[in-house]
Amino acid sequence: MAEYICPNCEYVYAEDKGDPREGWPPGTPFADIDPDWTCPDCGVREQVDFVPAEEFTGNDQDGNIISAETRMAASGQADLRPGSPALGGKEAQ
Amino acid sequence: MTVQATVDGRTVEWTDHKRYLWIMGAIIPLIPAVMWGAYAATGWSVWWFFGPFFVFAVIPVADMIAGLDRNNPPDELIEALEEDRYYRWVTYAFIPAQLAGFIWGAYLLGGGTMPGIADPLSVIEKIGLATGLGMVAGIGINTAHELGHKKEEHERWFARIALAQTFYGHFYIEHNRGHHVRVATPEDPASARLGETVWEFMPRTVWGSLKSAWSLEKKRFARLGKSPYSLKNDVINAWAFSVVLWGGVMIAFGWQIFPYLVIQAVLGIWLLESVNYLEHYGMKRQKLESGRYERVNPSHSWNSNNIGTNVLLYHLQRHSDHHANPTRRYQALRDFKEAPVLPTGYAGMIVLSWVPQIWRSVMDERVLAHYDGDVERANLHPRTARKYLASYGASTVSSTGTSKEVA
Repeated sequence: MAEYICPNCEYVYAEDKGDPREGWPPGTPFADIDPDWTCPDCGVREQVDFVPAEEFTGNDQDGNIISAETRMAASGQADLRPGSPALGGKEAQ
Repeated sequence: MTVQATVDGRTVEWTDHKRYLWIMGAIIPLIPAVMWGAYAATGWSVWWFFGPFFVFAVIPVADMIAGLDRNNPPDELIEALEEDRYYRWVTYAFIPAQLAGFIWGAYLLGGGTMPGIADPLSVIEKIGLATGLGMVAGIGINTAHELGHKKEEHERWFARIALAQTFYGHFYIEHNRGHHVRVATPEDPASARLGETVWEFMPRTVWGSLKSAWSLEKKRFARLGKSPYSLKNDVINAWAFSVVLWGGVMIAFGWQIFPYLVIQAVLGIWLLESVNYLEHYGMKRQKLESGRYERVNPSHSWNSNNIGTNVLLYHLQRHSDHHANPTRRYQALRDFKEAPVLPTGYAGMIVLSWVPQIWRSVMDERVLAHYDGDVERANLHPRTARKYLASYGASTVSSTGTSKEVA
């Protein structure tokens, strides 16, 4: 199932896991989440700001990847750090 | 120590000159130890009032002497800095020191004696001690703030422990999910408006933040289909820490210490809310056509690069970057050249806020200059809006405001 990422702090919403603590049981489609629901980690992006995880290239303000290591450890995702092959080996701008 | 990373085959290096200064943050909870030692050595009661003296005299003067540090880590190293565990241990160290000082203080408030303190303290001395504990408590809220923003669950619990002393546990919820969402808008109780005095701001932010924290958790529990009256409610479980801590010291040292516990909590909250007051004074995000507010950007927070206060408050004064990237750790926060700058550090600015006339004479022209003289773009306070519009409104646009301090 699809994953969506907060373009500020890289919190990942995975539809199969949901976020039960926030009131979204496993399997809740991202589209069913309130548009004004704020990112549970940074609070400065809302549901409408999230992007599909595969489209994410870096912080939507300054291009940085700020917690890729933490996120990778948590979700076993691709290496999105600057300079990684997943970004075509190019520094995120 | 030098941090380095290799990006695109290029090695980037940077030395954090503040690396070991960060330990100074953990000296704040040693204020009680200073009071004890100095009193034991001299027998002067005035030492019990050392806490406010340190925060409102020593730190502002240190800021003036130590000067500014505009040094930023390079973008390539932000992640390496974030991952350096040393920095987080510095913040964790604050908490046991804070708790030890609080329990030590409660023992003395209950009439205890110890080496160097042969007789139980007098009422005046106890009030002084409570003010010192209050200073630690307020700066403890800042430590809780740093920890509460992090993604690691254990750090979020540490935040609640640091908030227990002030009974301000709901701050953890309201700050992250309320203040950061609505910052620099008229809806935010914790963003001060142009022309609002700190004394007006206090009740508005304390009550407004409490209401907001509760309604945020209530909304979450409504989604869960459960009652908010549960220990899983983050407002309630954070308060539970205070019940345990306050209850524990009152059982151990007597209920008579209660008024002093209230004094130190009120002072701690007041210190924290004073910082809230100056962080966004007059700042306003403009509303977009979609009805949403523009995204928070560096222009919506006041900053300061004064080394003294920055080291003691874990870079809280690099406030624009903090609001742009709330989960970013303190050591990686940057100074933005385009962000508005306060004339001195937060500690000195709090002193100015006590007399609204002085505060306005220093700050109002800076707010005006920040908005290029267009007072309508500032966050106006309903009580004084008309006066400000009359004095600075469209017809009298001037470009003579003091030049903005752009680095």
